[in-house]
Amino acid sequence: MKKNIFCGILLVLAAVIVIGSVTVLGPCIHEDGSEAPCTSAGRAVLCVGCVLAALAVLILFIRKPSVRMILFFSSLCAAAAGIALPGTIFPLCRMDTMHCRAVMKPAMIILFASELIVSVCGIIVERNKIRREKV
Amino acid sequence: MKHFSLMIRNLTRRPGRTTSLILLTASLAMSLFCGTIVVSSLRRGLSSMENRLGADIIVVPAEAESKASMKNLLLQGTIGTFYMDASVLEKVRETEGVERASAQIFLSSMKADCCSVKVQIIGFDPENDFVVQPWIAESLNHQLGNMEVVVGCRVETDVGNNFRIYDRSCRVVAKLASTGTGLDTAVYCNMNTIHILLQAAEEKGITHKIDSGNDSEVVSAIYVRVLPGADPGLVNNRLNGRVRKATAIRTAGMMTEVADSLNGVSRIIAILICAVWVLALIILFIVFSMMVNERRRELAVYRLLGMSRKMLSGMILKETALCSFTGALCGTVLGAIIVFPFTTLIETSLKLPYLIPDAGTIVLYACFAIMVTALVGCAAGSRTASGLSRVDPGTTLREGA
Repeated sequence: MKKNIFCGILLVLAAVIVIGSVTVLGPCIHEDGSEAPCTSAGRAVLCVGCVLAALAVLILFIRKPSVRMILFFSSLCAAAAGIALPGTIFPLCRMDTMHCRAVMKPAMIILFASELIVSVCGIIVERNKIRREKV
Repeated sequence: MKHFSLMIRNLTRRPGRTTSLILLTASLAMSLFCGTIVVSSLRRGLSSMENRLGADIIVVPAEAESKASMKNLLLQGTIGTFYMDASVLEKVRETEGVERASAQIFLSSMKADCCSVKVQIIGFDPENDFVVQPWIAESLNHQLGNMEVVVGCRVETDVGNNFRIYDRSCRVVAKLASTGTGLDTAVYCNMNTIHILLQAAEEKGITHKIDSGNDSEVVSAIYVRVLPGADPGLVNNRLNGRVRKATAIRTAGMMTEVADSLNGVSRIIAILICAVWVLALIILFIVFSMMVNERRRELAVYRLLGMSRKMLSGMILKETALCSFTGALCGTVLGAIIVFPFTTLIETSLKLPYLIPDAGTIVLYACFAIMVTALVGCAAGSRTASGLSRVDPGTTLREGA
């Protein structure tokens, strides 16, 4: 149970990202049905969230510390990319008061940053395990 | 150092108890820090709005006043496109008690022009203006030229960029500092530019016609400053009697309304903080009294091993202080993570002027929240510490045998 705590948190955070990006933490929606400039950022966040969820599930079922460490490292990279997605890599609407800037961007940065911290913790734990195995 | 390691071991041996203590103090610090930041931001927003308004009276078309458009425009940046005959400006200037009067023309951009939302475009006369010009002068060191615009801090564009409004390209020459009001989302230009844009809007089928008068000579609002010593209420009444199809609104009244709303919000926040603190304090005292019974035997052993009462109570106090400080620090950091990234969301939800304090003040508030929480935690723990240190080791160990 204890060894899966980090991938558990990773999975929960990824689920929040995925569900949030299609509900309350998603991009702006135009009443007339036209596409907002931030729609692509929303889609990208959803994709990275799915990747993180898949990685967390893989970590949950894999026992080998070296493989787990690689998977944690992959989730770290994905989380780092996720932080840069809204606003830096993909454009957002050009008004600060828009939903994408007021809600989606800060919420996603916090969630991806949490994923990043959890991934770092996971890497440290797995690295210690590998060292102990060697000894 | 030996005592410190014993203290750490005591805390890590009971992770559940330590975590709950940290969480409790974190909730105290978070509520205090977030509440203080929100209330002070609201107060700063109100004073910024007072400073920026700069006029005693605003004359708007009667239809605008009925829709409360002016207040919404100032507070929330709601688009206001209302017009009246430009001749009203002369009538206002001729009114007794009026020192200065300056007109503004409002126009709304199309959704597709720059953003996925409409932007309020405000045209003003730089030569006669006393409302916008003083704070534009803070960011711009030359007169605003034709097809040049100054944008509010919340419009995501940079100085030097081109801004397309109704297929006309305008150059961004300055970006204003934050006001915490709806004016942060507006775009400012001179009268020549706004007339070109009004023409462009008309070509796109967006009309700004008024019921009577010359369609090309329109204004949206007239800002009035009364003569020193003149009664603004009397001048307001004079303007209402003299100018037809327009309403004069006293800005003081508008500010009072905003201040009332702000006081209401501040009161609710204060009540919420009090409720959180009372609850958390009750729980803290319960946790500490439970700790007295739980650790009686453990502390009796310390006494038998030669620890004095003073050392024992000191050790418990240090444990409590460490937990409280860690909790207060975590709570303040968590509060900062919640309050600062979601500033815009808080502002739009409260519908009040909201301006975050400067970094120095924020650090001061954070230190205050950490200090108060840590002190309260220590005060709650001191009762337990004195109770536990008075434990008679012999009786306690015999009771347990």
